[in-house]
Amino acid sequence: MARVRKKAILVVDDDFSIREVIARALTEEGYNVVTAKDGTEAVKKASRRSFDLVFLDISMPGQNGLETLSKLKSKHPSINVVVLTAVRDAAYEMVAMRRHAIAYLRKPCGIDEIIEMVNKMLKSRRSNQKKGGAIAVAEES
Amino acid sequence: MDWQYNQYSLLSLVAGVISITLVVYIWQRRSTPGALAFLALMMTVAVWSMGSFMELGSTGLSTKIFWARFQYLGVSPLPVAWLGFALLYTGRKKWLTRRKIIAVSILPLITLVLVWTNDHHHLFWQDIRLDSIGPFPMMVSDHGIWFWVNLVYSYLLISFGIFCMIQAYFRASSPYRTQASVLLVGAIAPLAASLLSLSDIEPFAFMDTTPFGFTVSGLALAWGLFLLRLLDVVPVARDSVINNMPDAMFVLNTLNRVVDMNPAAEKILGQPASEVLGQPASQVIEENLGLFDDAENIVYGRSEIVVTSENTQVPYELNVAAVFEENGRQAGRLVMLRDITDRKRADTAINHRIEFEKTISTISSRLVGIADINEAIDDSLKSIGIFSGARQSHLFFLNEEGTHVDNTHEWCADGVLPNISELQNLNVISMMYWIKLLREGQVVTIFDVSEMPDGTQNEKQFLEQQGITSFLAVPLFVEQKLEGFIGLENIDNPKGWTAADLLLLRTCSDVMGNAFERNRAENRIRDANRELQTALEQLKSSQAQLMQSDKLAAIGQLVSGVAHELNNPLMAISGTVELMQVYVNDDLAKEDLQNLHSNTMRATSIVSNLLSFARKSEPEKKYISINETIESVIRLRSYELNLDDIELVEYLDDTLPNTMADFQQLQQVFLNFIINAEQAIKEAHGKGKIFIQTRLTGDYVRIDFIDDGPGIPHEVKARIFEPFFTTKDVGKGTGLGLSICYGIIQEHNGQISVESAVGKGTTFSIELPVTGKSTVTYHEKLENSNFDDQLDRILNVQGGDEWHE
Repeated sequence: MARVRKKAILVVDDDFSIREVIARALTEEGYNVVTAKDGTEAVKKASRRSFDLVFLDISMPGQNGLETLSKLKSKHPSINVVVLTAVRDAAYEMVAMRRHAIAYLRKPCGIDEIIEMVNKMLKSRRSNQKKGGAIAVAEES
Repeated sequence: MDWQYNQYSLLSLVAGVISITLVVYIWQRRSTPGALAFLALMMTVAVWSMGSFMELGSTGLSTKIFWARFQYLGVSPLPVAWLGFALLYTGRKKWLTRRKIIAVSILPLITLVLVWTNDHHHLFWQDIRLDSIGPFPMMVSDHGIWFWVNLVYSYLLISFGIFCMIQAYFRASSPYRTQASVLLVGAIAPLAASLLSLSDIEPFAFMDTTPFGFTVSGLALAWGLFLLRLLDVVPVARDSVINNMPDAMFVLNTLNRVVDMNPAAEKILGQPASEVLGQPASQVIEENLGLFDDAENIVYGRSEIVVTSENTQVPYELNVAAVFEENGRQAGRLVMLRDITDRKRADTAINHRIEFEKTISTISSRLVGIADINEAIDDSLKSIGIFSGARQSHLFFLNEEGTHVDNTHEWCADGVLPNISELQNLNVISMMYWIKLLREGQVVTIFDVSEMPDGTQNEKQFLEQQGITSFLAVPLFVEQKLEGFIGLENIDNPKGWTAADLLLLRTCSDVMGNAFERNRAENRIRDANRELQTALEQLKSSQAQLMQSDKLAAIGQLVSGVAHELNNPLMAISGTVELMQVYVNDDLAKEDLQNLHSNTMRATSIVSNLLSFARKSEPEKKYISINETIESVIRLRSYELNLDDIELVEYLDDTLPNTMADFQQLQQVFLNFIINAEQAIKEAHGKGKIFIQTRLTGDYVRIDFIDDGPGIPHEVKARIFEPFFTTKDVGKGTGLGLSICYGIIQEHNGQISVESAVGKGTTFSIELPVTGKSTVTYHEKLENSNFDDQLDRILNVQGGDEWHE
């Protein structure tokens, strides 16, 4: 087990630019990044292989983020999902938290912020996906 | 008895029969005016004629003497009867007094007595014998002294009667020719008969024809009296009418000279007819009466004139009418003057009545349309004053407690000095007695102040001080309460107040009382209206605030939608820029990227601002001190304020209670106001002052932010809380600051308002309700078990069973 498996990250967003920026940044940071353009695709890709982290947008056509979150969590209870959304609504936030998203990020946020967060989660805190784990909410300044 | 027939006696018989017939005829028509005198005359004629017939017809001396004496039963009263009849007939009835008739009858009575007692004294007949020389035996005698006395007396009376008749004939005018002819015959017949009788012409020397003359006269007069209605319309009667009528009458000829006038005319002129007749009318009448100024040529006309003599002024109706002769030529003019004093008096009374009613209607209508009740009262007082002829009219009002009166309105006749200012706040003690009367609804009537009874000393003094000589006052009731009185007064001389004055005053006080009642009712309505108006305005402003809130909500939705859409591209841009910064080495490009990044950050912050405006998050209320919140903000800005040379003064009420509020949100609001004020001051004059004060008003904490900046124009002020409304340059402000403040204060159930005067400064005021410490907070509410269901509904999330705990 010397070979260190690259951590896999799924980026789900209907916005191509967002997907591309995040994917490029995380790839350059040394992560294995897969993208999905909507909830259905995300669920499909998640069932094919496991991901260490999922960036999930909320407002998407078809199956929205919160539904996708429910499906992902029901199929892969241990999957770590960070909700990344432009929607500012306490209610969404509450629902996301109750469905065990590990973080709630508000767009727009800096790329460095994302990288910093991913690094923290996947390198130092390997197993905080368990229920009752710390919930990090990135507040804007 | 021996009897002889001769033609002389036959003549007497004819006269007798005719006169007896006339007596009977007249008796049947004795109701005709003048008929009784005529009856008396014809009876005397009948007695005389029949006596004469018997005397002439009898043969024996003693028989003849008897019938001679019998004749005198007619002969002696005949002149009296004739004269009486003539006077009546010619319109001189007023001459026939009982005293005069008796006086005139004394001598004939003596004659009658002497005739029947002649045997004893022979004063009438001296020697009576039978003369057989003539064609038949006749009684002849030498006449005694009394015979002549009686004869002269009789002829005097008869002649006077005849004279009256003839005069009447000449006075009669043309339409009465026939009647006049009758008069002439009636007058001439006795005259002629008497003359015949006195002459020695045969056969009249043997007999007395006088009764026959009277018979002819009687026939003529009877014809005139009964068939021509002589007495009804006789010219002489017309004379009498004209002479006795109260109207003055002048007859002018074509040369405008006075040719006739009646006693009434004499009376008006004060000159006897003898002095006036024949004078030019212009001289006589014009000088005396001033009638003929331009009346020279008036043919018909009627006018009213006033003739002034000494102290009296008498109104006359003047009638001028042309008089024409039968051929149609104008003979002159008739001028009639009728005294119309009575009619005038009646007219005056009617005019007075009309004036009275007019005054009442003026007062009523004046006081009904009360645009300005004071003006209406002044006008009414004036109307009453003028109508009643008083020198002053006034309105006094009792004060609320009923202890003092004020003269509130007065009207003064010309030349009367107003003294309203001296009649203020008068103690009712000076008119106690009156107030008592007035309270009972009675009237104060004083005809003569100098005769006021002893019990009313105060009142008397009160009036005398003002020089009032007579006084009339009626109560003014408003809503059944005595509020004062209106009255009239005279100052020169006592005046008799009339029933009309009183009625008018009463009416006026009634109408005035009503007007006051209405006025008060209207005021009450106006006050109520004003309250309603205030309520309406409050409602409107609440509505406006509601609309403002609605607008905010709608805009909030829009903004949040747009902002969310912007967030994705913004993130893509900033992310891309960040990535590029890693591998781009060119310095210039790096600089550009830096620029791009900072602008992206700015855009991000704008969107963030928009979202915080749109976010409908409820404030996180804690029990905080408003003063401390303000102080924290001031500390935050103190460096900047110093730098900008702006002096900030705060006056914070220490006693202000804590209240439930969101500290951070309030900070944001206060900061916004201070920064706005700073910017306004800086732009306007570079330096200035900001004053912040807090105080408790009722259940509200009031916070004022007062600056001496340039102020806000009205049109800007109206829109100042609208979202996106800004006066700042593009890029300097989002126009959301005050909207956010508004929203926050609303969330706190508070009020926010702005007062501003251009060039002087602006005051923003916040009122926050003081609410006690609450234990339920927003987050605690979220813990509520029902909340999940609500969320499900809100978010329309399907199949969320797995997250139920």
